[in-house]
Amino acid sequence: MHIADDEKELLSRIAAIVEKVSGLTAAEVLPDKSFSGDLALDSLSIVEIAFSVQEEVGVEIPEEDLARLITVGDLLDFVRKHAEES
Amino acid sequence: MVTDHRTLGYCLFRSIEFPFLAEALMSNRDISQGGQLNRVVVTGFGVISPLGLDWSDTWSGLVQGRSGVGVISDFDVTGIPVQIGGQIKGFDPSAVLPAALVRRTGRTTHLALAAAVAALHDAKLEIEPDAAARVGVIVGSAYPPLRAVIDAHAAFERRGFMGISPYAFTAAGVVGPAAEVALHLGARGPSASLSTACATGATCVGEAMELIRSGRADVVLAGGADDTLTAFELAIAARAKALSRRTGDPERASRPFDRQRDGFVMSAGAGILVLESAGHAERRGARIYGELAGYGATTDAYNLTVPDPAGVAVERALRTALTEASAAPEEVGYVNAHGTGTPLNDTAEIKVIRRVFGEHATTVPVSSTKSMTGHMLGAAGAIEAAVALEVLRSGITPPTVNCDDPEDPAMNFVAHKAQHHQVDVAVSNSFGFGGHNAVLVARRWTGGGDGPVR
Repeated sequence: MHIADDEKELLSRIAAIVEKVSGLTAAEVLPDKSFSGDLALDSLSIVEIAFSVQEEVGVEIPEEDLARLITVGDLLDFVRKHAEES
Repeated sequence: MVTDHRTLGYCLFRSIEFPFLAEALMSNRDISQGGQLNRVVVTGFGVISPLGLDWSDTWSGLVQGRSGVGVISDFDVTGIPVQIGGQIKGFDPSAVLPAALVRRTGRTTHLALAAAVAALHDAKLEIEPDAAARVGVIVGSAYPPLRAVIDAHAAFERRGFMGISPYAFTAAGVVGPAAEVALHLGARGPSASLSTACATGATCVGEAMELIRSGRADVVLAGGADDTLTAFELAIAARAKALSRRTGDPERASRPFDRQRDGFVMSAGAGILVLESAGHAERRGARIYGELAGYGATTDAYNLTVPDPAGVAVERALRTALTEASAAPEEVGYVNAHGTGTPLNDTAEIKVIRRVFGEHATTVPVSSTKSMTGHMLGAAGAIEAAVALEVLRSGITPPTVNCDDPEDPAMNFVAHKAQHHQVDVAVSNSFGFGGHNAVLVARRWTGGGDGPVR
């Protein structure tokens, strides 16, 4: 139960960041959506999202890892995993 | 094929003999009207100034002789000997621009974007996709986006590579105002950011005129924007001894043509005009502010910051613009002076007005609206072109406030209070560091559509 709540909260934080950076609405930002395909974000916007996640959530996303984060879900997994580590 | 040098020499000789033909060939002019140039009119103003967030508030402030200069409250001025400026009050870019655009751009670009949107709205013009290729954008700034550079550098120093925003690179560039305006509005004709320091706004309007005259665009959004009111920029301008030190008396600090003047007052602002070919404007039934009939651009090549006291190049810019407009000096009914309130500028400008206008120099109203707005740097020339056009329409010449003891008492500096004059031809002077001079001549519009430039 707790885990599901945390998951929802993290998704809404990331969705808010995507909305702020791209102008998409937060409701469109769902775990199965891909950044460059479904959400049609350009590469600079994707770096900007990673940068904002780093600023606001405190998880650093190196460039080589960012290239492997294709969907919103991938980013959620990455942040969750590294938030636990730190 | 062997190049015949004699033929080349002949061509050069002929070009000199027929400069108009040479110019027409070199600049790819539209010669569908038998080589005649399109007339240029202005159909929209977008202005943000220390006097107001739109043209209507700015103009009424100017007519009332209101000062937009005050004590700086937007940032800490401790330790800087100049603590006054013309701040823009209550501007919220998020109210008119998408959040993502506001986020990736700096304040100068926000001002340019908001002014461009307002100008198009004022012109009742929408850029349709099939006409977009005929719409250009020429918008510049006198200063680069230093605030963005400073912030990005601070983050880099503090946290290294990962501290830098991915948009720092684009935000630090100088094409922001033109590029973002073209992108946001979907303008696909020629676009560029041009800078001539404090003459930027007039240069952008003048070069935009050329795009329309030559047939390379039907519509151009033209002007300038600057927001240099940061502690660092105020400090460097003060260090250059350019600014008035009348810190205890902000509304009286900008005193063009007054003997007690001691420098200019730095302000923020944005001014974008919608320029159209007269034919384009008349076909769509647009409201026309007036015609841009002449543009003269020259360079002092005298000193980086000091204007040539003899004003030789300024005089040539003014005479060129008048000749292009087929206007005799005595036809000019209003001059919006550059009039910064620096000791050297105003003396040199008076000399040129005296020489060019002769006896008419003591009757033609000459005012500096910088006495009220302060010096909006890259925006000044464009906003002052709007002033010249509004004078044609309204018959009201805004005053030079604080001109208590005029350097040339025989001239009409429209001291303190606005005056009524029927004006058919108005001049706007703009000069910048680097010796850049740009003079625009506006004419009352009396119809005539596609007809050629006189």
